[in-house]
Formats: sequence, structure tokens, C-alpha cells
Amino acid sequence: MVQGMIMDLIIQGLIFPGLFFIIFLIIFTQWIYRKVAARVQYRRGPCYTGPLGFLQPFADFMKLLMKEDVVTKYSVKHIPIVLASIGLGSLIAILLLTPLSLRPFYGDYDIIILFYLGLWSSFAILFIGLATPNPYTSLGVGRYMALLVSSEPSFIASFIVPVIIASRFFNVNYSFYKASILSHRLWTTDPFSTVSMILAAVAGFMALMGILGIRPFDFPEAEGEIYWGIFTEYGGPRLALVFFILFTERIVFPLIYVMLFLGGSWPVDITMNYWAGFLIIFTKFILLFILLTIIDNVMPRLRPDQGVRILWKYALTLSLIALIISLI
Amino acid sequence: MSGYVFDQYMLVLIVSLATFMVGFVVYIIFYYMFHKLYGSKVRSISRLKEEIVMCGLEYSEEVLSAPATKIFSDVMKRSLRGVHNILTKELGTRVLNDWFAWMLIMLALIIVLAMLVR
Repeated sequence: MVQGMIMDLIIQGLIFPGLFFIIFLIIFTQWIYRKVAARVQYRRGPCYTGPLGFLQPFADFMKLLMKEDVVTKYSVKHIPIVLASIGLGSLIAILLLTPLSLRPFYGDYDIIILFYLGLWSSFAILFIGLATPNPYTSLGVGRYMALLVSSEPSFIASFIVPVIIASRFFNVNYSFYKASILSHRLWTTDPFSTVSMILAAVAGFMALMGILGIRPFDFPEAEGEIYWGIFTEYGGPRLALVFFILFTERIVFPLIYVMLFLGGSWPVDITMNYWAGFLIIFTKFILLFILLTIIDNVMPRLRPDQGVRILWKYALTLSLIALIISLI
Repeated sequence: MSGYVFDQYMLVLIVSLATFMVGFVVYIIFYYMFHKLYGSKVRSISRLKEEIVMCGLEYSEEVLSAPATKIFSDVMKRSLRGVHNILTKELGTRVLNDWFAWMLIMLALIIVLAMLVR
């Protein structure tokens, strides 16, 4: 039993739906991102590396990994790399708690563990920025802190709503795994839950955009304004790891959104037919990813104070209203 | 439902273990191994590379940096100017700490939510 569990943990953590699956998904989603962005800007996007340019993101990643590791003499040298690796590990470990895992690890109140793991990557990015003394980096870190403080409360308050409703009506004891399997039934359980699900879905989408730094909330990077904010000093393998975290965030958090708000594997029960359920979740995720990509490419960037104000005023207010209605 | 069911403490331990395991593999493969195989071979030592990018400014020994915490508090003040004015001027929290007032608001919110849940 214990040996089997350890083997499952290793195989699922490192291969599927873990590290190597995430690498494949990063290549796939970044290829989609570049193609969609190119279409929006009347370009063709990647064409030459691999079929239809599919391997271009992989080639760019390898190019960064093979470069010289340059660090300024005032920077912290090793800890950012260690923290980036752990941040990435925490994002991948989240997938073990989801129905995407063939043999998931779950229990009562596992939604809190999911939020805890989700925070690791954000703190890793913060520390990566603080580890270099460039003024533009500090500007980026300050803005990123403001963005996190504004988007995390609404993210948590809205993403917990489906779990609360599932716990009240289906007795799932605040388990994310069990709630995500039942999520399609939460919309129609009772009129109050329908209203709170709608409000939480809207607020959750705004918070998701904030956490992922999607325009109009990309002011911590703001290329033309503060160079590249947090990542100004980074290049080579360090930048590759930073990209690794950012692109993994853009996979894991939308997947959670799909599982809680977009019905998960509905109309198929993933516990009965895993691969059909997996395919449906994957399709919904790709559609959500394309929507986020289009928004990222057509929206203008907000000023930091404007972005933060929108998140406090609308996303947090809506998520708190949804939270209160779900508790009534 | 197939899978492994644990209590909260054991689950935290297991996912933390998975986190560190994946993190270790990422560090070894994507940083250490590539650095040993390729990065160390293309290394060229230069004083300029180790200095800070200053966008055309001259390099000085003084480390120039804008404190991240000041920028953070500035963004928050500008974004919630009305609330900030109430906190600082009307409630007089300039004497205490703004964060103290924020935490009081948070505490009040938790109490209200707790009463609703009850």
C-alpha cells in the first residue's frame, strides 16, 4: 500500500499529470498564445520550427537554458533558483489534488492546501525580484506586491464559493477534489447558489487575470515603462525558470477555474470514464486559455492605482457578496 | 472514487513532499545539468556583465534602488484614496500605523462573516 502510494506520487508528480506533462502543455499553450497573438496583430506567428512552428516555444526555452548564467555582483545568487524550483514544484503538486490525477490525493479541507500551494509560486516570483537591486526591479516588485494583495483575497473568496456550496448541499467537507467532480450541479442546486456562482465566476475571472498578470493588470512587468519590472536583471537559465513558473501558472490556475466554475468534466463523469473526462476538461481549458490570450492582446495596460482600484472595488466586492450569499 | 484519502496534516506532508521532489528534479535537470553541460562552457568573464543595467547612466558604487515597500504603499494609497483619507485623517491612524487600521477592518469583517455562518 505505502510502496504503491510512493510510486504513484513519483510517477504522477514527475510524469503525468506532473512535470513532463506540464512541459508538453507549456509548449502547446505557448504555441497557441503566439499564434492567437499573431492573428490579432495581423502576423503569421511561429512557422518554421516543427510542424506549423509548434516547437518554437521549446526551441526558445532551450536557447535560454543553454546560455551563460549571468548574475550581478549585488544579487543573491543561489536562493532565487532554489525558490523558483520549489515554486514550480508547488504548482505542479496542485495537480495531484485534482481529478486530472489518475490516483488523486485528497481529503477534507484540501481547498486550503490548494490555496497554500498556489501562494508559493507568487512568493517565489516576489523573492526572485527582491534578489536583485536594480531600481526597475524594485518598482516591479512594489507593483507586484500591490497586485497580489489586491487579487489574492478576491481569488480565494471567489474560488472557495463552489466548495462551500458543495459542502452545504453534497456534504463534501470542503474538499476541492470532490467539489470539482460535482461542480456542474452547483449552478442549479438552489436559487441562492446560482446567484452566488454567477457572482463568484465573474469575480474569480477578474482575480484570475490579476494573478496571472494578464492585461489590463500587467503593470508589474510594463515593458515600455519600467523595462521589465521584476525580471529586468534576468537572462539565460534564470529567465528560463521564471518563464517556467509564469507559464505553469497560466496552466494550473485556469484549470482550477475550469474545474470549479465551468463544470469540470461535465457532461462526462471523470470518475467513470477518465480519458473522456480528461479530454473535456482539456478542451474547456484550451477555450479559456484562448479567451485569456485574446484579452491579453487587445486590452490596454492600466496604471497600477487604476488596476488595484478595479480589483478592490469590483472583484473583491463581488466575491464577498458571493461568499455571503453562499453562506446564507 | 479511486485515489488516496488522507487527513489534512498527512495531506500537507504529502503534497509538500511532492513539491520538494518536483522542485529538486527541476533544479537538477533545468539548472544544474544544463549549466554543467553548456552554461559553464560558454562563460566569458566581464566586469560589465556583473554590474547593474542603468540604461545609459554611469556606473557608481552606490547601489541605486527604490524601496519596494514604499512603491507598494504608494500604489495602495493612490488606488484607494477615499478609504485612505478616512483612515489617516478622520480616524487619525497617522499616529498609529495604517496597517493596524486595515487589520481592524479585516477583524470586523471576519466577525461579521462568523456571525453569518453561525
